[in-house]
Amino acid sequence: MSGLLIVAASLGAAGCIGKIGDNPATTSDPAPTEVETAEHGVRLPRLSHTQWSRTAQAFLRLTDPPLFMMRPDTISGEGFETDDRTRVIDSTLLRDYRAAAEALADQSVDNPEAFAKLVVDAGEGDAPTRLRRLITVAWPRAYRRPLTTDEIDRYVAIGLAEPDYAEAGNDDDRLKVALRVLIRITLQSPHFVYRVELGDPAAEVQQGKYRIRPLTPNEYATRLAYTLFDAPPDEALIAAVTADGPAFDVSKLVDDPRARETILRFHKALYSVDASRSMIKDSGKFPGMEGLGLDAAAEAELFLDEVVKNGGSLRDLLLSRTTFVNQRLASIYGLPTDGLTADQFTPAELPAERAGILTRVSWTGNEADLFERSSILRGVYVTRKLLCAPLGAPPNGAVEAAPKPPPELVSNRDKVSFRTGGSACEGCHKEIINPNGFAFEGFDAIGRFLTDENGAKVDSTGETILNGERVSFTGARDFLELAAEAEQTHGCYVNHLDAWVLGRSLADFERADAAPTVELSIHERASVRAILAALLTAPAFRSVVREVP
Amino acid sequence: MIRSGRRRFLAGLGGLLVALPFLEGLERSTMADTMDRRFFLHFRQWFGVQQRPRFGGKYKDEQEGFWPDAPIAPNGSVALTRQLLEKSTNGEIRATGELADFASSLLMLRGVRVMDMNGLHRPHLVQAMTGSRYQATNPNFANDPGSDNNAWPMHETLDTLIARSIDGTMPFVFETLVNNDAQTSYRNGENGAIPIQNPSLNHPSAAYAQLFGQAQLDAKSAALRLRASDAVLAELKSLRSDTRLSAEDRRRLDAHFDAMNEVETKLQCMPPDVHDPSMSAVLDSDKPKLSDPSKSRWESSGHFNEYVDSVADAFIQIAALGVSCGAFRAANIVMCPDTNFNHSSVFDEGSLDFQQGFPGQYHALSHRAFTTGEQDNPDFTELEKGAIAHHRIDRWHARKFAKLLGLLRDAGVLDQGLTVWSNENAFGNHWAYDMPYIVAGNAGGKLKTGLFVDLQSAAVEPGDSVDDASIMSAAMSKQMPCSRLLNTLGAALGLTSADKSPLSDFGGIQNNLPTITGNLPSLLT
Repeated sequence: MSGLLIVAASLGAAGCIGKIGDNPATTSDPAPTEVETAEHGVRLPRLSHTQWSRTAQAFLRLTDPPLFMMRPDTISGEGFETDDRTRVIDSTLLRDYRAAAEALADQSVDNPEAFAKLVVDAGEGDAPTRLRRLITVAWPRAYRRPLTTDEIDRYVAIGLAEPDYAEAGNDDDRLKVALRVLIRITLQSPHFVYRVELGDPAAEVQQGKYRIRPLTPNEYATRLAYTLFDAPPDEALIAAVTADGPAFDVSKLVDDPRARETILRFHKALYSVDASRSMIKDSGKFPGMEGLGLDAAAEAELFLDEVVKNGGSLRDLLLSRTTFVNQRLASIYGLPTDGLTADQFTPAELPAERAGILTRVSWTGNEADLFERSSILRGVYVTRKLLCAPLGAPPNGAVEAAPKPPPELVSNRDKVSFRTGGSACEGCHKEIINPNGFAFEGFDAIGRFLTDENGAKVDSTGETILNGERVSFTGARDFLELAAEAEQTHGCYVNHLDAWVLGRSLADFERADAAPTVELSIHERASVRAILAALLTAPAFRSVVREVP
Repeated sequence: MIRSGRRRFLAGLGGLLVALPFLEGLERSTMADTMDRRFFLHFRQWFGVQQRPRFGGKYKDEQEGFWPDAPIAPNGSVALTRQLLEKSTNGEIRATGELADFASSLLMLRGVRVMDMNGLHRPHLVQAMTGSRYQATNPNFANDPGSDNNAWPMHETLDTLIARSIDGTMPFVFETLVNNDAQTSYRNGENGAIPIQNPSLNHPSAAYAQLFGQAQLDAKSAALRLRASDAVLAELKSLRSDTRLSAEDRRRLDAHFDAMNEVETKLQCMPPDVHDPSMSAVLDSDKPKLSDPSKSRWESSGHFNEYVDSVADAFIQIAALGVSCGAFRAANIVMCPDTNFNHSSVFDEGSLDFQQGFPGQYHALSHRAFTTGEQDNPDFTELEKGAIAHHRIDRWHARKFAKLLGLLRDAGVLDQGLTVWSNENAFGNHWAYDMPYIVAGNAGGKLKTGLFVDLQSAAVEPGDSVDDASIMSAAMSKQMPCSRLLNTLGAALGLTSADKSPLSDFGGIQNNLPTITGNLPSLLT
């Protein structure tokens, strides 16, 4: 059974999805069919602002990516920054595009050095000749494809029709007049702003309720480059993809140092590292912990990057005790602090009670409040993000209606159990959320390991459901070791990674098609990079998919 | 047709015709025109209007000078016609008669009260556009709990709700000599804190620059921008026609097109040359009076009312331009309180021949008193002259409102949104029943117009009530709470309640009385 199917089976066992009173906007379950239609019908993903900037850099042969203030996209708590649904187009952004386009156009023609670099592709001849040659050679860098003859003719005509063209003093000046308007147009064009993925209609096939159309080599190369490097493809990549066809080996791209940045961003989003950066703790209970989030996030980033760089796997992400600490983190982890400073992060080995990313200060501290660890936040995270089990939102008013624990309850676990013990809550909390959160009960609000709490022994034991079966655990590390061997966990991870590379959620058949990749992860202990490479060559990534009503 | 109307408007402003070739060349036949053009303009007068009280009290013998001259029954209505609005008595039309050109576009609503009548000015100011009682909880006034200044809204005003509901923006506030205390537009405070006033602009030139942000763009650059934009739109259209696109792709390109159209619309507002003399009414870079935000110099210059006139006109033009160009969704033009209206542009002081000297301030005039603070002891020998002066001030405001409506109509946008003339009081003696709410435009056909409506539930004869408590009690029980009117305006503009039905849950908070919300379906189409 594939990990993905196991996920479904375990969900059935849990049966903990939305109830009356759920807020649909906050429910994490798969969207209904009509939304699926929208998600899978998109063939015009908008470039991120980083991608826009790097494409402008390549197009205009700039030394560095230009920096502009652009309307920020809102990333939902459930999504990745690659999710195309978060990339809006509105008048505010269009004004930002316009301002950037105008500034770059003016710079490219008014700055002699910039102009010289841009027109190196124009060759010799009079202005119309050079303009046509430049459009033919340089514009594919902007649009990630060769321009059609009609497009070239149109752009040349626009350039030559500029009011000042005829009066310009020499060919260079005439070229500048034409380029000033053409660069403005190009940097605002839908062909620049969007990844236009129309696919090859002749090769379209129907699979169930989906029509699947393979990407053209240009489109595939473009998707690869933006996914891995946040940058447009260069000529060599397009040529290689075109030449090799389906046999194109993406592993070199995945191993390229430029891909580390984007792979790290995925893991930081998945494991809430960016969110942990701004964690705040009560200075009375936790003196000297101001800015702890910055330390914690830095450690998490170093660890995640280290795992990927060294060919680590999901198991390593979940179980490795390798880390990098400064003086404060070493103190929290109970490691020697001799010779350590506040600014330097030194390689170290975490104590035995810890395992992987979810036992570090960044995650344990983020899934907590100012004073206390949050077993519920931790349980919800594990359920949704680690195991991909569906979970409804709490009924309206549940938080306010939860009873206040009596004073005789001293442990956090007992208090949480009491507060969530009502009939409206226990359906999800008793069997699913709380046990998954209690596994991490041994880590307080700043990630320190606890064995005693107000005179009572901290209890991190419990039972959870993995692969549809109930299993017992004795603590966080035990829980994670069990999870790291469960197909459900690997299926969940692969789904997250696939959603990240595709910039959308997966269609039903795509989840099933990812099964071989899950097998790679669980049975062959494949590295993160190998899993990524597998997804980048899978049919879902190489095609555009449209759901047919 | 909106486009041609806008052209006329731009021509009227002068110097704004640069975009015409682009407009003519813009073919949109294959693109969806789903641009949302709703707007809300609020024109605020202060100190009540000169009207005959229906519940008795101090001014019960004054002649009616504001509402149309038509008998109207409680809960009844009459059609608004030019003929009705132009009716005169002894050669004097009612103040609303200044709006005769717009009879079919108006909804005049009498019989509306605020939620809590206790108070003088600020308590009513903050209610007229929140539809909820005021609160006196500002810690800055902790030592002055009974102060009229310690009055704050319970929540945001309607203009804020409208702006943020339509496109997530905040309303603009244009002040004509109000000194950053318009008390007209509020946003909710954070974490339940007291609502705060939305920032205001009191300098037309600065307002213009902030709104359109392109006063420095010369004609050549503007034309280049338009050519580039035109070409991008053509590419957008071409891409959208590709049959390989999905329906979702087309929706995305339609949204892109609409956003672009919005940007283009603003682009068309760009003056080709900020030094064009025809723009001087708005930018007025050559006239120091509009470049000088300090009114003190003009108060002593003998030309103060000319200054007031110019500032008001400039803001009216900017407001109309902003709406026409989609620069904002909601704005307030807050007219000038405490202003020495002694210029012949407002009324002929000399013809009134005040025996004890000219009262001076508008506020004092509204009280029929000689100085502010004497409102409880008006000189009844001069009452009639005070009423005439107040009536002329009302007509001056009505003419300004008519000017605004004219610009909106010429731009073809009057019926895209709602333009409301309101007041913080109904009368100069702080009564806040029969509040003057004059609505223009039908919000895209959603609001009935061409009507004079009395929302009062039962008749009360003048003089029936003589003491203040009786007047307040009668007004509270017989008149329509303004909350229901505000919900109606919001509903007409497409705003919804928490349950997604047409807006009905805005405001309604009373003082020790049940909350009254709901809209007025009889006014909606």
